[in-house]
Formats: sequence, structure tokens, C-alpha cells
Amino acid sequence: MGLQIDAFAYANRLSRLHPAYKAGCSLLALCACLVLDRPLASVIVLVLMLALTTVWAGVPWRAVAKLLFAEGSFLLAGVLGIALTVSPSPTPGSVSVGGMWVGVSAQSLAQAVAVFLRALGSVAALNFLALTTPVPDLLEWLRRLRVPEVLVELMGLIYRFTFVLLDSLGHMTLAHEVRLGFASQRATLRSAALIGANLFIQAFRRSQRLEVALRSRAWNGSLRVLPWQDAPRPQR
Amino acid sequence: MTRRHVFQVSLTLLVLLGLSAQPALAKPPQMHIMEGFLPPLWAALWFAVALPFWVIGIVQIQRLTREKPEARLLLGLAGAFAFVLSALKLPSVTGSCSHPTGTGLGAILFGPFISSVLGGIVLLFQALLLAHGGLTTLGANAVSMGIVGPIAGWLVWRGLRSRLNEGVVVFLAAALANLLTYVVTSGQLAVAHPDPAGGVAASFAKFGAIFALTQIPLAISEGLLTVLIFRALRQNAPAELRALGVQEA
Amino acid sequence: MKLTFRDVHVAYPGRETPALIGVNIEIAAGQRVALVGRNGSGKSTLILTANGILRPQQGAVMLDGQPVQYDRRGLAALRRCVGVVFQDPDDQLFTANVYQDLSLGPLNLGLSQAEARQRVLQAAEQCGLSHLLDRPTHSLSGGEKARAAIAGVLAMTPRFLFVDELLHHLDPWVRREVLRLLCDLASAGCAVVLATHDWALVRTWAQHVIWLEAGRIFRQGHPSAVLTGPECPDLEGAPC
Repeated sequence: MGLQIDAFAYANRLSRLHPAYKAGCSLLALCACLVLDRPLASVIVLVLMLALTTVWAGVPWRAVAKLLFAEGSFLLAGVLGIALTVSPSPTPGSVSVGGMWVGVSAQSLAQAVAVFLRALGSVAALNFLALTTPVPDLLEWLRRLRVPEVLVELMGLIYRFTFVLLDSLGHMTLAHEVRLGFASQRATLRSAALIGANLFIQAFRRSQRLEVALRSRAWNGSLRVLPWQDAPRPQR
Repeated sequence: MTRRHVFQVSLTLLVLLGLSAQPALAKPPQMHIMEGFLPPLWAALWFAVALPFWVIGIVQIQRLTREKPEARLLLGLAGAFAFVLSALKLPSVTGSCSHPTGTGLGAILFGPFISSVLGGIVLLFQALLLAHGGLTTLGANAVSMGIVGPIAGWLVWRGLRSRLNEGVVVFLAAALANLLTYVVTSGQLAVAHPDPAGGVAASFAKFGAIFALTQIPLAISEGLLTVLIFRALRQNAPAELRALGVQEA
Repeated sequence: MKLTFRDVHVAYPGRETPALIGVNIEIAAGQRVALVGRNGSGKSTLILTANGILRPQQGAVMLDGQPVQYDRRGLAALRRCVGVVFQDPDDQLFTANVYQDLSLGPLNLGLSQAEARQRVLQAAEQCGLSHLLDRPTHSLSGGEKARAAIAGVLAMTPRFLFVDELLHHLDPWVRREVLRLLCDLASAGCAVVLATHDWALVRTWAQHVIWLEAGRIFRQGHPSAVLTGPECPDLEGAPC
């Protein structure tokens, strides 16, 4: 299982741009959405961020749309809770559920639509950042913003190990698949547990092997490496 | 809005809901609060709630890595493990895995403060790499998924371990952590978006009811899963568990 | 420069049978050495002992006749000279990109950032990685990861390079590239010790073979002298 968003972050026209610009752009749009809190503003931010992502950064619009659609469907379920109203007395068009009247009012619906659009605009702003900025760049930026070193370092390790473990997970899932490990619900639960446990054991053993490998390179306790922004960036 | 508008917008929402039913059913809503869903004030408040946990956690991590430099590798892999668990293939009724298994294990191994930091980092990466959750809602998600849930699980584990069968305790810890996560998230949504007629209480009931569809089966299956994982670990890796400080019950 | 094991005994705590028993070897600069033997015969233990990760309970590891001191300073001096490349590159590459990973070793040796950067560029050039320095580690292919793991050690300019079964997952083409790299290193004066199960390779590539059986040296010497007789699994003919 690869992480598509991560792949785009390295392979778009803006990937070499300083992360501060992209993060600034994204956070500004986020704030605009949240602070203004007007459907019109949200829609403008949404369109603008989609345009930046597809036209400026050159991320394929299909990928952007697919992501937004998935997020939109998550949002709809959440917005449902705002659109519905619950009151002790019947309102026009409401139905009785367990002694309470559940319905939809003009006010609640307007609010639901506003929240939906606001969230969609914000999500598009977040997507812009996620799809254009490689995580190591972001970490380097956080380091320069004086985020505690130990935290940035831990984030870097988690990011790196995530892909190592995803690889292991992929192999193990396949190994169970070929032995009909997911043939029934029961088998799936059992396979999932075995895979989860194995993954945990592997993670633990890997941490020990990594320690040995680091010590063999004269490691003295701090994971000091060269700053990322000095890395040579060959043109491709 | 007139009655007609109400009808039109409802219809549009319904159609959209129908359209999205396919992916939404394949992957029921996780307990992540999406980006932009909380008003700025509430978003800031939840960051403020999470902050002390993070600060204590970071101080603890600093102390731990000074004493045992190699511990950072284990912390890194534990965080990655929590992230990767969400990609685990689970029975279809329950959809994708949530956090308590991962962060709960973190809480058992490293205590609630350090695991709240790990949870925060994992949530940030889920926002950036998977588009689950968001940046402004990170505080709220961290409170429900990285702090309240794991602490509840940890307390159950610490409190009942010596009194009940280990399998039962692990099940209770994981299931309760999951359910509490769900209750807290519903509460966070309810206070941010109170019902115009019924207020916060009615809103809590609405969000609670919507998420109950997926979260109650999820809590049960996650509880079972954690029991099975724990049993497999006891069988296959007793030495590793001992090295990590998980003692025999 | 010489790396010598004199009557080295190594046991893991809590295990009855020692992993290395009375091992005597001598490795000279620029030598191509193959380390062979069954799984569990002590190859990896020998490699970890050479680098000072494991400390012999008896006997000594010596650099140019001087026994290794197992304190901070002595170990740093040893690891400056003796590098190890492990079996699985994912156990060794710990940063999100190649450039930063290569810089760990040189910085650990106390070099300045400018010097470290120079070392990184040089090692990358040597391993044909210059165009991949800014790539995320997880996007590399198996062969690229293997070369990155080697480069991470070469950036420390070791005089002895121990390579632990790195070649096994690589396809023959990539394998050839890596082997060529190891040959170049040996010609440049760095001793290369390769733990491997590939006997055909050992016969053609190695100048010296160390064959371990159950923690003891079974035979050592030139491949033409050592790899003969009924004990050699590759001389038995087709299995069916």
C-alpha cells in the first residue's frame, strides 16, 4: 500500500518551493474559511485552493477530485447531525422518534450547508499543503520555527518507519490472503489480530536492529544529521 | 429560506448522500473531526486542553532519551505502528481500524503523557498523508483519540489487571477506550454545534446516534482484536513483552 | 593496516553455547575476504565483534597489533576504521531521505558540517547515488537502498568494510553493480569482508575464505585450497 498523497508531495511542480510559502498559503486560506465563516467566502477559498493545487502545482485534477469527494462524504455524515433538529414538540415535516420530534428546519439546514462548505473549503486548503509539500521539508521548517528538537526528530523517525512498517504490513496481508485468511468475517478478524501482533513484534525487533546499525556507525546518542535544505537538488 | 428552498436543499443533500454512500459505507466515518468542522474558538480550546499533556509528554521523552538514547527508535516505531494499524484489513462491518489499539499499547508501554505526544504526531501525519482529520481540529482529535481514550484504557488495565482474567481486562480496556473516544467526539461536536431547538443535549444525542451505527460494533471488534493481538504477543513474544516492561499478570 | 582476531571467544548472555570459539583471523588492507558457513555458524557474530558491538569474553580484537579499548574513545576509533553494512537496508536507513542518512556517520566522527557534506557527496558519487540524494528513502528500489546503505558506511571512509549477506535480495544485474563497487573499494585499499552463501561468487571473487562451523574456524585460506572436498555443498551435483 503506497501513500498516494505522499507520492504527489514529491512529484508536483511546487515540491521544491520553500515550505513556508505553501504552509502560509494553506493556513491563510484555512483562517479565512474559519474566521469569515460565510458560505461565499468558503466557496471562493474552495475554488481558489483547487485551482492552486491543479493549475499551479500541477497535481492531476482526478486525484484532487477523488480526495475531495472522499472527504466530502465523510463530512456529509457529520453535517447530518447539524441539519436534523430535535425538539420536544412537533415542527413542520418532523417525524416522531422515541417521544422526540426529529425534523429539518430552514435555520438548521442553512447552518448545515454553511458548515459543510466551510469544512470543504478548509479541507481543500489542507489538501493543497498535503499534496504539494514533502514531509521532510515541513519538518525542517518546524525545526527552524523552534519546535523542540526531540519532537521534530521523533516525527522524522515516525515518518520513515511508517513506510517500513507499511511494507511489512503489505507482505503479511498478502501472505494471509493467499492462504484464505480473509475468506470469512471470522477469519478476517483472526488474520487481522495475527498480522497486528506480528507487526508489533517486527517493529520491536527492528528497533533493536536499528540500534545496532546506528552504533556500528559510531553513534553517540544524538541523531545529528546535516540540514536538509543544503542537500543538492539535481534537476530532473 | 422558504419552504421550497428547504425542500430543494434537502433533496440535494440526500442525493449527495446517496452518491457518497458507496465510499462512505465501504469506509464508515472514523472518529476524526474533519478540517474546518469546528469554529475557531472551539478548535483553540481543544488545543489548550491537549497542550499540558503534550508539554509533560515532551519533557518525559527528553528525559527518557537522555537516559536511554535507543528509546527514541522504539518510540518512533511505536508511533509508526499506531499509524499503520489504521491500514489493517478488518471485518467489513466495522470498517477501518481506529486508534485505541495502537495508542492504547503506547499508553501501556510508555504511560499516558508520552503516548499523547505519539498520538498527536500520528494524527498530524494522518491529516497530511491520509487526509483524515485536520490541522485546526488536531487539538480536538488529540484530546478524544490520543488522550481520553488511551488514559481510560490505561486506567482499566492498571486497575483491573490483578483482579480479572487478562483477556477480559484487555477487552474492557480497548472497548472502553474506543467508546469513550466516541462519546468525547460526539460531545465536542455537540458543544460546537448545539441544536437550535434542543441545545447541546439534543445535539449530543444526534451526533451520538449517527456515530453509534459504526462505533459500537467497532468498539466490540476492536476489543476482540486487541485481545487476540495481546494473546498472540504473549504466546510468540514473551521475551519482548518482558523487555518492554509488560509484566506477567 | 591489519585487523586481527586472536583466540576470540564470544558468548551471548543467557545462552549456553558460545557463538564464537577460539577464532583467529587476520585481514589485511585491500583484501577481498569471503565469510561462509551455515546459518547460525557465527558469521554475523564475527562481524559485530569486529565492529565492537560485541565484546569478546576471551582473546582480543586488534587494530595494527593494538588491542581494541572498549571505552567511548576506543570504540569510536575502531568504528572509524571498521564499517558494517547490514542485511536489510531498512534496518540501517533511518532518515526520510538519502542525503541526511549518509551524513550521520561523518557527523558522529566529529567532522564539521562542511567536511561531512563533502564526505556525503563523495560517498554518493562512489556509489552512483548523486542523482538520488534528495529522494525520499521509501521511494528507492531494493538496489538503490542497498547502495545507500553502503554509502552511509563509506562516508566514514572505513579501512575495513564488513558486508552481511546484502546481496541476497538483489537481482543479478544490481548485484553485479554492487559487486563492482566492492571490487573498486578493495582496489582502493579498503579490505572488504563479504558474508555470503553464494559459493560460485566466493570461488571467483574472494582472495581469502573464512569458513565457520558452529562458532569455530573450520577452514581458512585461498578458495582453491579451502573450497574442496565432500563438505562443499556446491560440488555435489544436481539435486535431482
